[in-house]
Amino acid sequence: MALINPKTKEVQVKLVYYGPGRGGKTTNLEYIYNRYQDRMTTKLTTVKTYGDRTLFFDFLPLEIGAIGGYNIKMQLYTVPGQVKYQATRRLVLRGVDGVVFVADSMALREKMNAHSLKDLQENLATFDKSIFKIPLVIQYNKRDLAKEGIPLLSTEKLENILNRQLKVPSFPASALTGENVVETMKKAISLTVSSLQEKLSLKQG
Amino acid sequence: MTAKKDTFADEVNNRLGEFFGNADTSDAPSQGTNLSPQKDSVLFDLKAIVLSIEWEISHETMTRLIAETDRLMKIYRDNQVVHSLLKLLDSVGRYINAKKATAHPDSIKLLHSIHANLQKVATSETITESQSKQILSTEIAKFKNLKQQLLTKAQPPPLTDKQPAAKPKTAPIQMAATVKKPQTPVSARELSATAAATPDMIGPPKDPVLQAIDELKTLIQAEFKSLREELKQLRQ
Repeated sequence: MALINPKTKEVQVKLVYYGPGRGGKTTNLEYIYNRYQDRMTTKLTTVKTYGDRTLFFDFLPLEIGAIGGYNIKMQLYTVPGQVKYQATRRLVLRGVDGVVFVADSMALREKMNAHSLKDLQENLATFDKSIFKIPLVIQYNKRDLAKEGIPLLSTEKLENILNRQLKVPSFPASALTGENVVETMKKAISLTVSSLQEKLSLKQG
Repeated sequence: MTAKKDTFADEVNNRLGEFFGNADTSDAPSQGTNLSPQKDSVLFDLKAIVLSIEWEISHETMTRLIAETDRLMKIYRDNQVVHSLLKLLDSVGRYINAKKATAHPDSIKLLHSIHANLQKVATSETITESQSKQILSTEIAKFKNLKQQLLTKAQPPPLTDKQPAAKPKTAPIQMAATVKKPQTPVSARELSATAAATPDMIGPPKDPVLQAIDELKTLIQAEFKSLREELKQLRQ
């Protein structure tokens, strides 16, 4: 749950980029950081492991300003996608408010996407959260590879595999070129902040 | 209630719009579009394979890379620079194929760098011969550097009582005189394993380097132990 400080009128919101290894989660954050770094006060922090993969997580704080009288501080995280880092993924999900699932559009990654989504569902369940209730946006990444002759799954097929039951907003994207990277994040922030506001209003009666 | 919700959602969207501006990607970097090979180009398949390697180092992709560089070497046999770059690509590809995920991280970077320059030299109409040769010599230097790094890693230096001549940037030149401090648990293990395989080169048991490796191992083990305990506590 987001950290709310009524004294300073600050809300800290945690948004996690989840998905299979080598799917482009870090590239999403890198694109956002490179494009908006003039508006950011802190740097993107990444811990890489051997072979340039994310070992722990990437972290990008983002102050988007005041909404509803509260200063919103977004904290964007990525998780390591490789199967072996299950414990780290779970830790990063602790206190998550919203999720961006970065799916890999490459045909050979079909099963990996489904496994990772299942993994997300299970890990959220350990924190008593439901994948059907948490603010979630799906991104079908690497669409740019189509023009390089690499076989990709169609967005229709990806929708059918990953979003048939969830029915959440989804975007075809390319984290490398920036296509729909910001749109994905904006949608995720919007859903997350609105959901938090809704929860708070319900609590306040 | 719904009207209030809509107003809030509008406020959120307006704020995001103000902060991020129009999220069009017209200024998105179009990496190498000008030099990108067209579908009918002889280099088209090579680019597809190299991009596949970026995401998945499989035996199939690596075999395709080797076969493709082989095919292109025949096509470019009269272009010395492109031919040499292809040879480099082939060598790096064979190394990655043999090592797969355990390949040195710089080898993937080198593969991409050689490929990008190969594309530049083969497709650019403005590049001069001397510029092409300069590109080739830079890539050869990178290749030699990687080779040297791999050799240094593979051969344990004879251990002496002297302090390590620790100058990472100038190393590795005199392997016999340089004892590099292992940077990761993996290299420490490797170094220790290789040392064990060559007992005649191992110094006395209390050798400072071996001691340092042992300390590092103990430290890592302790770190993992405490992490495991923390995780256990968090789960309870």
